[in-house]
Amino acid sequence: MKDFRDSAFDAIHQILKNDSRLMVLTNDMGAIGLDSIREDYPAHVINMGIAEQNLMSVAAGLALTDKVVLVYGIASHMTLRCLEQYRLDACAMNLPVILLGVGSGLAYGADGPTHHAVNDMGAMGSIPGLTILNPADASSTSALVEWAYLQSRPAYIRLDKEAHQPLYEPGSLDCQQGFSILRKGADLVLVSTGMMVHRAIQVADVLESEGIQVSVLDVFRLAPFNTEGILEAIQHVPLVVSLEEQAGPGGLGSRLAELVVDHAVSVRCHRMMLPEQFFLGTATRHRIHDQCGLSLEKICQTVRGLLGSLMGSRTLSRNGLAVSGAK
Amino acid sequence: MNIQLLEWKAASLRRVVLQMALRAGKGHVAPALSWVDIAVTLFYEGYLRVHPNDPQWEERDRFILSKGHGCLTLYAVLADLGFFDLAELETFVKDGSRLAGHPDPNIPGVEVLSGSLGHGLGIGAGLCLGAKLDRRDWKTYVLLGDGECQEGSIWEAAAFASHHRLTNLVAIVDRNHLGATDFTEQVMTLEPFRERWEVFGWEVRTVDGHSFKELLEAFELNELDKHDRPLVILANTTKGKGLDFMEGEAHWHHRLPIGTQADEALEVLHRREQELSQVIQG
Repeated sequence: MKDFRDSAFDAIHQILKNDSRLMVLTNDMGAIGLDSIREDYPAHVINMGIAEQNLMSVAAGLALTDKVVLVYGIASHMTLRCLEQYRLDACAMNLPVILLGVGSGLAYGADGPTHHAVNDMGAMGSIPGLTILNPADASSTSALVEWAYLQSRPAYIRLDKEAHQPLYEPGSLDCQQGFSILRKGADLVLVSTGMMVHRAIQVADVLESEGIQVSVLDVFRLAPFNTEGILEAIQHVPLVVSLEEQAGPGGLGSRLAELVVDHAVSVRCHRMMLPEQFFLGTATRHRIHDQCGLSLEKICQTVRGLLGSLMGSRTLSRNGLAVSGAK
Repeated sequence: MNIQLLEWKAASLRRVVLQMALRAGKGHVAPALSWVDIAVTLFYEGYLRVHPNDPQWEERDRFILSKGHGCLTLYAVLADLGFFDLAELETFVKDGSRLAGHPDPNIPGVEVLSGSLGHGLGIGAGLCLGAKLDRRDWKTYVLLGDGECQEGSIWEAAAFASHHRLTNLVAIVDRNHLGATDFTEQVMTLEPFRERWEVFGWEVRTVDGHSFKELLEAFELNELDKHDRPLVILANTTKGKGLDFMEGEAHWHHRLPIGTQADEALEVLHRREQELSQVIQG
């Protein structure tokens, strides 16, 4: 199964066939896909060494000479290590410097907090005008890399390190929409992003076997957030639950909560995310998820509890819950 | 221009710089005054190839004021050269003006946003790499503050530029020996400064940053020399140059004279400008 990184580099390789303006910079990170690009286009790949501040400033300088620059590295280092350089040199001048950060969330689980990207969406979300993309499978990764390239403006693409089951047929993703409705159900909406989309589908499978009708949203573009589309998708259900492998403000849950408050949506909104803490020591992604209530079993348990608490004030549908006035 | 004309131009710009700041009640006057002579050499002697009527001319040389707080001098030069109207200088830091306390690329002639220190050399290196890849002849000049060279990112960029043999990159350090509150050598020593640049693989020239003769020689040599490394000109300067009470005094970094002292300071700069004007005409 093709992983996110291979898909991203395949897309870049394709773009380079037609556009010699594209440059790929890395902070001494390797990848088979990158080697392949280097072999065909040696002048277009630059190993900038382990100097991320300079990397971002150089990327901005290159973009000022009409280049489109893709920067590849570990997500936590590509974002928080050199946030100011990216914010001021690339984003404030609206230059096409696109970050490809591998290792979203806890993908580097056992490598410790230096390599976890669990606050990156909050930090990057504070940059005005920055596009943040968080694909959930290989096909959407290549589609979003190409889409970001065509936008020719600052973008941050988070890539999971693990391969996941395909969700989309190649060419089927509506990048402009910013999210997809993977399933439709009237009792609750699971709003998810990145690898958590797969967990959301598992949760939906379990709950549907219990007679609960579940919608699943894959929000692959966190910013700009498709407020109108998501608003439409979460209306007329009693419960919305966000699922993300992110901590603190600025992630999917935050954006959803802001939407609910700003638009006075009458819905029970519950956010499921990582706690704000440094995960010191060795802990696998699986173990941390379990500890933090993000395992399949614990999410199902939480959702059942939320549905149960709503039952007192809502009308039961034939199979589970339905809100009064639901479609 | 002959040297007397350059001196007159510098005196005139110093007067404009102070006038702008006094009118606004704000501005980094001392850091602006220290690089006026460097600016005059670069912009008025044709070393920086730019077209005021076509600021985005593709083949132009790029200039980056990495020490963005020194923008009073840049604004005065750009307006004087015709990048924008001289009258706009009166709007410096006024509500709604393009001329903010740190420069941004909405101002004709300004290439990049600057003000947070340590960014300009890396951006300049990126520009130079892009120019080399595209086989363009234009150069990039980056003016750095010496206090700014305490930033680690400057040395990342210095290593990168020499590694990639960016001979189209020229850094000029406004070595006035002062940071925002104290002498650089008191805060975090930069010396041996010349050697630092040398071991990072740069061609180094040290000049008196207020001597047009030495500045011209340094820029001229850069035109003629075929050195195989980036060039840094270490220009020894005096912060607040032109105003006795301000020269080399740490507390004038972003302080303005007021009352009689302001009137006298303006009078000193105005008189110097007139004296030089008479010399030229006489």
